[in-house]
Amino acid sequence: MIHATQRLRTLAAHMVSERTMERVIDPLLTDAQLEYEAARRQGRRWRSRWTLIAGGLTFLKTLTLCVAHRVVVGDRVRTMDDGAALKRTAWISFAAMLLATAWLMYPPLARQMRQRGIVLQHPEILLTLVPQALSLAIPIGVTFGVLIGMRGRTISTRVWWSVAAYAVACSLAGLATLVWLRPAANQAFREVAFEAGFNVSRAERPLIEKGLTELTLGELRQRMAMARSDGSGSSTDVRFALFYHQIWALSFASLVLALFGLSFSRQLASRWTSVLFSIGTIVCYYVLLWVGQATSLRHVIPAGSGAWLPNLVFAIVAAAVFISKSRSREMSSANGREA
Amino acid sequence: MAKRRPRILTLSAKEHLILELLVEQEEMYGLQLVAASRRRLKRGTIYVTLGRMEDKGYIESRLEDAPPNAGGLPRRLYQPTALGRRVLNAWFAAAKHLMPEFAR
Repeated sequence: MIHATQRLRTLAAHMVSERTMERVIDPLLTDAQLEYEAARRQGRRWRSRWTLIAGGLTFLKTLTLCVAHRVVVGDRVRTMDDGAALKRTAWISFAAMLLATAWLMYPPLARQMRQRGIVLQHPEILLTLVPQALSLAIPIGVTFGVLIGMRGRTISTRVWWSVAAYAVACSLAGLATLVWLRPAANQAFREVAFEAGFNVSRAERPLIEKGLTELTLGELRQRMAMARSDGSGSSTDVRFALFYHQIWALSFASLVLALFGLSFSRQLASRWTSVLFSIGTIVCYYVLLWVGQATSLRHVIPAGSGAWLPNLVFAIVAAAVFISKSRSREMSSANGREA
Repeated sequence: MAKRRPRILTLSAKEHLILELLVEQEEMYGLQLVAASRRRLKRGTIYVTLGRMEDKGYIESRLEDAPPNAGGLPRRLYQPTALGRRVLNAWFAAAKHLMPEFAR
């Protein structure tokens, strides 16, 4: 029983603070252990088994309560400061998303303005350009938000989980944009541009065939299957496969970049360093995206690996930094104990 | 500078029960409180509640002197503080004032 108690204690030590260990977990485990030993000494076998089960359930319930309290409310100190940092991260992220959306909308908008002035005739076309830009603006915004908002801070458990939850929400928003909004908006743009360019009404307009960026996930999978079966060529197959995997990879870019940002944010002391680091991160991500795309189209690596290459590289770097920080924390606390 | 308002001392039903039992018995450990409460206190929440009460200053704890051959950690015993006794007495006084049934 003592070994089991030690194992449970070691498990809990990773999840709760030292104070919680001392005041809640240790008394719980000690009482359960002594109750079990008392039942064994009295020869009450069923009673001792019941105390084992009850002790285990008590431990699980108490640990869940303590972890939930720690995640939601946080450790006793720094709660207000953490809240301010999280708000700052959210505002910077939102502002960066807006700016990135406007910046990404500008090239197709300027092209349309130069060519036919469609935007003046059909201002609603502006809305159809938003999802295409948003699919890239969301991970850009998350990167800037985390790196600038969390600069120079020691990341507490509460902040870590809050940022991770925010990044998951952004990833889901990105996925919804890429899977549903972007295809519909791009197709609507093409239709409005055709109607305005050729001066036809909606009823007179012929069916405009969808390009790659106008296909939904289901349509993309169908085209991939068709390309494979009718022997259109491996290049077409790779193109469709690459685009399909990029939809998923770009959706999860927000989560990967947020975790990358959390692992580096402590080292970024000044505002301008964090801005430059954010820009560098986005540029590196874009370069890796391009490298993955180019190597997949040349059949050097599979389409899935090419699409996920930037996420994999950033996730590995973030994990390496996190593990190295954990190890140096353990070594310095071991040195402190020896002293 | 805004004047800081004093912290309002609260006492939940479970905390009230724990304080009552501790004032009666003086020193108890967690599972002893659960047994004495006749199932009104639960094993899964007693330790969290005791930790919270200790943070509030209503109770204090000490580690029991374990026998020399015993393995594992020593047991933690709880007892009420002076503040805890005052809060309990204040609760009873308020209850008597608001609900005459308590006065009988």
